[in-house]
Amino acid sequence: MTILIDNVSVRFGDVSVLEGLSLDLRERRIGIIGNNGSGKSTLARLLNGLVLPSAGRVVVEAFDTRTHGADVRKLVGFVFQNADAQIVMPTVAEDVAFGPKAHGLAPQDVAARTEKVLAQFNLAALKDRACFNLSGGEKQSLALAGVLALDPRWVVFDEPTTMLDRKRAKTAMNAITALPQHVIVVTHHVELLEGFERVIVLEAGKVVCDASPREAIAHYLDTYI
Amino acid sequence: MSIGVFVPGASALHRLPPGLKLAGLAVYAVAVSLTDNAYVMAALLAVLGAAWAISGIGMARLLAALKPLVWILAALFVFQLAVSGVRPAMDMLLTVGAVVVAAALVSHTTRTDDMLAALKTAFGVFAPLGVNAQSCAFAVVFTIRLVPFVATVGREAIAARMARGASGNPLPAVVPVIIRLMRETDQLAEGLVARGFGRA
Repeated sequence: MTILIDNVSVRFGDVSVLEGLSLDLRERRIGIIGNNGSGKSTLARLLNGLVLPSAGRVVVEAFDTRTHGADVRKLVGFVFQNADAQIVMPTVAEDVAFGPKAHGLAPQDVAARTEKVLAQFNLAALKDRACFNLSGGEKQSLALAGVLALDPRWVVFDEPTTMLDRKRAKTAMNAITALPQHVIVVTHHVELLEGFERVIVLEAGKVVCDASPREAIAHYLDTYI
Repeated sequence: MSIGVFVPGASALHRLPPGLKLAGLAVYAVAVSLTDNAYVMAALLAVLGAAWAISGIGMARLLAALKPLVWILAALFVFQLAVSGVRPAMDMLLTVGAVVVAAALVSHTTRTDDMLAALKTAFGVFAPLGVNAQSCAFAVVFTIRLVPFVATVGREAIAARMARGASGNPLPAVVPVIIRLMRETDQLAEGLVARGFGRA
């Protein structure tokens, strides 16, 4: 299971965000770090086709994000920094069921997946609750539950701990690392990447270090902090 | 704000077909907007009150549906009062309030999926003209989903102004609210695509 990023550049108007990026992602735990504006969120968005390359290509297990966006999004779930951005339905159960329905699953499969994921995230008791009345932690759980209801092989997290205190950040990262899926985490909290297999450091739209967590984090802290 | 959230129940309103409820809402909205007879308006309000009581949803949710509107209704009332006088201002107040409560009643007694299906059927009439019925149905449902969020953003914008020494007048907060809503709806659109809606 691989995601291939082949000589990808991304431009927004005249601004170059990523430049000639080539990566072969296959590890189960990958971290992406870098300063603000380094291009890490854009890189994350490339992985499930939310952003398309201006040049080059991104291929997820044989599906090109440019031509097979729907297939790619079945394989790669995306969890946003702001849970509110991906909670799209009025109640908890409806929101969890949204993704499977959007991907055309049969009603009985939608119901089964929804029930399973609600139980998995301790949301079953809240299934008829209005999403906007949930606490911050419950919203985060719902956001992740909504993504996992699609049963993706990869889950990309865009700064999942930025809005959390240190205790909640640690709890969230424990939940993330316990996932059976391949996980890619974009974060500022480098200490949370302990135990990851690979960490990529971005600066000004280019990979400046791609190594083990110890080496990559040391490089990042020594060079850019 | 509780508009847009289904409240499980077994009342007659819960059991009505969603299409009938939406059609009834449309007819009701037109009726309260067009009438200029105080007795007819009183009768329409009484019908709404009876329907709410039958639904078994409770007064707390009725107040919750109206509470976030207080500032908006107050601003509109003052504007109408200054421009057109007492009667038009009262008409506006009752019309907007009644339509919002009626919409809340329909949303509280109708599952989102059922509403989507009914809307999709309704918009399907325009399919020969190239209208995408599913997208239109989702647009309506997402608009309802955003109502509580818009109310929250409005309250935050007013609070932010007051924290910096401004008055509680909501009108100057309109521009920052619109800008923030545009940014947030962009994020929501990205969230929809990420979860499989829309883009192929």
